Amino acid sequence: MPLFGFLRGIFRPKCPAEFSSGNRGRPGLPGAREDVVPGEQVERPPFPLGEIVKPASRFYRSLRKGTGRARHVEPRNLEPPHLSPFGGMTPQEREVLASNLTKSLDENLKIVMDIFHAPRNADLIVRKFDIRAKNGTKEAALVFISGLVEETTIRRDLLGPLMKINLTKHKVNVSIEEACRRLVPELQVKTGRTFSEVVGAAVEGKTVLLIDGDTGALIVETRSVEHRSVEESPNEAVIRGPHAGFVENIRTNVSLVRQHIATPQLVSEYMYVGARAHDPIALVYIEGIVNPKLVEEVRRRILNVRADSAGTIPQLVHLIEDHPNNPFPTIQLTERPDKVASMILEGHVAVIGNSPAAMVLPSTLWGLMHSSEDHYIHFIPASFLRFIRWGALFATFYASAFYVAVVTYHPEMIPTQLLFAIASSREPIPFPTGIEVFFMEIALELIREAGIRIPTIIGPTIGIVGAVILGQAAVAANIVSPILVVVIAISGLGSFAIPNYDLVLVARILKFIMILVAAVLGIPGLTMATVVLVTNLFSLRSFGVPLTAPVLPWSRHNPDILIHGPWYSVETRPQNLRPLDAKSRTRLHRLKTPVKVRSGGHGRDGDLT
Amino acid sequence: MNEGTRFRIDDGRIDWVEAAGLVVTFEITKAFLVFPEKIAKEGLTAAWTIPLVSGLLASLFIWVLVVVSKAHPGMNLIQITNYLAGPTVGFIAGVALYLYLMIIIVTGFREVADVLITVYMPLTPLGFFLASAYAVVFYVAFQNTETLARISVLTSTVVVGMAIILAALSIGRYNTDLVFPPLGPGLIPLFKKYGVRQSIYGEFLSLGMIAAYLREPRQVGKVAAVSLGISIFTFTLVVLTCQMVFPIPSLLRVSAPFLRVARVIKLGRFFQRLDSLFVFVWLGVSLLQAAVAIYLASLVLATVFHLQSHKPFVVLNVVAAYFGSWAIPNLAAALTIAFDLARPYGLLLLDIWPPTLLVLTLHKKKQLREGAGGA
Repeated sequence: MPLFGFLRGIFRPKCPAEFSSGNRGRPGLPGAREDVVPGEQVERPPFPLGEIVKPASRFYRSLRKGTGRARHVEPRNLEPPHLSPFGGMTPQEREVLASNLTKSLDENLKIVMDIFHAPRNADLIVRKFDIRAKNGTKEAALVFISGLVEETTIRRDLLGPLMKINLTKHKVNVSIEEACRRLVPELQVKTGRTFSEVVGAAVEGKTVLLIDGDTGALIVETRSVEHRSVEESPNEAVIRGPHAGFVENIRTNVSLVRQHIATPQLVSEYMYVGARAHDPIALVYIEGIVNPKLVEEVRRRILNVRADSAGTIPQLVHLIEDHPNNPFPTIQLTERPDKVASMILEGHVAVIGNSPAAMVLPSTLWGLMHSSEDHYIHFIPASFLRFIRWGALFATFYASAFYVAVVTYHPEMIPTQLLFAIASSREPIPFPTGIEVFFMEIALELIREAGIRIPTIIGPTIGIVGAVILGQAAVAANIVSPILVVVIAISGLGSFAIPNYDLVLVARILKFIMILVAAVLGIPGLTMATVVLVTNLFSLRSFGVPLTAPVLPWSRHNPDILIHGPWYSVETRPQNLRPLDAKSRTRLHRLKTPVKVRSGGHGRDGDLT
Repeated sequence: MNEGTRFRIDDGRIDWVEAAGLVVTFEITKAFLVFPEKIAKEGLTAAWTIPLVSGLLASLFIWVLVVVSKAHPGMNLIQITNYLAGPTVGFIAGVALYLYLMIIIVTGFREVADVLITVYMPLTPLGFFLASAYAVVFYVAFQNTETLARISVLTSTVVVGMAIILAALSIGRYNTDLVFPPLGPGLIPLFKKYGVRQSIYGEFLSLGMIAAYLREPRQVGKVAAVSLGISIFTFTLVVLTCQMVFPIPSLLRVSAPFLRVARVIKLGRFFQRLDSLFVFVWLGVSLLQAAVAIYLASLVLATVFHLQSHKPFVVLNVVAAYFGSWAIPNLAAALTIAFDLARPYGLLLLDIWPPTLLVLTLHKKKQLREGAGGA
């Protein structure tokens, strides 16, 4: 121990080294400091340290240069980090939050209750009790928010030991340090010194122990939030492969990914987004594979979200994507941990939160058309299914519009017999083809939207019955032609076969634009719309990576773009991600030398030894 | 290990494949309309040799352009001219190139619009069609170099593939007798045409502008070789196919002969009119060609006026091109301006400008060497 080192313990209570890693987290407020306990990755938002350091360093430089007295620079108003839970508070409140706890328990509790607007705010629970110790009976209190904590843990591991123990026998003074060392049998604990730490811990679902006469606080991990159990993802179901999907709990979600990648190199970096909501999110990636610049860019964008709440992961997407005004998805969302794990192994970064969807960055157009199923079946059927999906995408975009263009402007394209069939079926229809198609597409969208809102039990029935009855009734009433019903059905089915929901939404909107253009300018109009569409696609980027990479611009990649190649040929990671480790496996040789077989003896040729 | 390599692909830089796609798209789109008819009129039965031989002749000047670009990496033709010959000459050269590009856009698009309106959309007003098409051109030209180059790779692949497919599907209608006598109008007139019709490769001047955006400036030669090869092949294929399907007297009377080739192909009963699909591809490529031309014209102006971005000039150029297309009275006038006026005289740009720059470059190097020696 350094000389006079013991004085530090007098002025600032501190957990012993075995409890605290000494790894300083970034302070949440001016003057705030905290110790982070190993195993609990609490990452506070960045604190504008430069604002304090700059005047000091300027002064130092001026001295070294001999330029005379440094210009006195008042540090600017130190705004709290916009990501802390105190971002929306007044300067006075922030000042209080930044101050240290006092020795008086009553005073501390009064301030905490004021901050939480208790007792009006009934969720804040303050449980007072006594601890008997050598230095007399000390008043103590537990502070937590009802509903966010596991009450059994508080009863069993906090209130129980603290109320029952009699420290007078052991001649021990009660203090936060002693509580941390001897009294609280919890795994994740840390000490706090300021009101900001106490309040921050409480809103996160932790329990804070305050003791009269002590200027410290013990923060104990007691979080427990109700969430549904792990179930199959409803939107990305597969026939083979794992059936687990993400849930509304970040810890569970990260652990689901960890089950697939059991390596110490899998890093889950926790941070908070939103000044008031303080939503926890985790950046998950593999150190040694992912490009550090990608992680840095993701981190930068997330930390720059200046909003009260970032909401769920799908909402956060809109705050950090490259082209927020463009409807095309540039960030892939998935509900499947195995898909996230597979993409992380390729060098992507996943962002996971309290949401049943995780985002994977960056994305490519080709990836949006991939399904998890592709990885669990033979590559030939997998490739075939991909072609079907691309066909479905084109059918959604063009089926109805092409029908309008051909029937209205280019009947010479249609075989004569089919032309007669269409002409005879359209003969009693009073509307132009464009209007007819438009109405039917709107009807389909109505059925689809109503199917989502109708209660689950009758929803599918209404959808099918509605479609059949509506189609038949429309044909019988001579509002639409029978052939059109087939075209609309192809278009509608196509949209259901697209694996990415965001892409489906875009396709559904663009379908109407295509119909409009085809009705006005026929196939030339469709060509023009296609040129705009393709140009738009080629101009998009996902975290700096072109959406059409690695095809255009070309870079080395696995045969896993339009088709899925054989598994033994999947050897490299996508080079458009610039991974640190380009090879995903060493060149895989299939066994050319047969396994040793037994010859002679009792076995037959071909028996494995 | 990729430690230290860039993560974000640099903005505004393109690979050699993308640059080649851009040049090919800009160059070969004109092959699919009246081009075979015009060439057939000059070369008769030897028409197919004109794009082939004049392409080989033009390669000499394109090689000079490559050498000049390589000597000044990261600079476009106008910047090189400014550097070697001063801003006044640079300005004049820039304006000449700008006018050349604008005439190509205006005449080319009028040609496209006229054929489409006549053949496919007879009830649609020309003005409405032109306005819609130029709106698309504006959107595409407003993008950055990378986006344009990537789409160009796609479209050039599709359109060359389409030409090969059409040529292959019409094999049943080929008559090899139609390319005889092999010398057509005779050796001397044919050689004159070889010289003049280097002008069909005038669009290769775009290489001098695009070379500045190459990620690897040394690859400009590769870009030129690949794009010239593809262009010569496509032109020759298109003319040869038209020649072998239609006898010369018919060919001279058919407007847009390659489109007619698409029409005469029979693929059983279901595909009655393959040309409609061909039009889909061909119009898409034409729109992109116009966008590339507008982009290049805007880039020329931006360089001349020392602006960082070409975008302010895109609007101006699109409006000018729209009214320019209107100003031409009919298709025949558009063809005369394009083939008999702009391109032959535009050839001067290709044949004089890069060689002059090469001489100046060599002179400058000599001066620098002497200066260094003297010092």
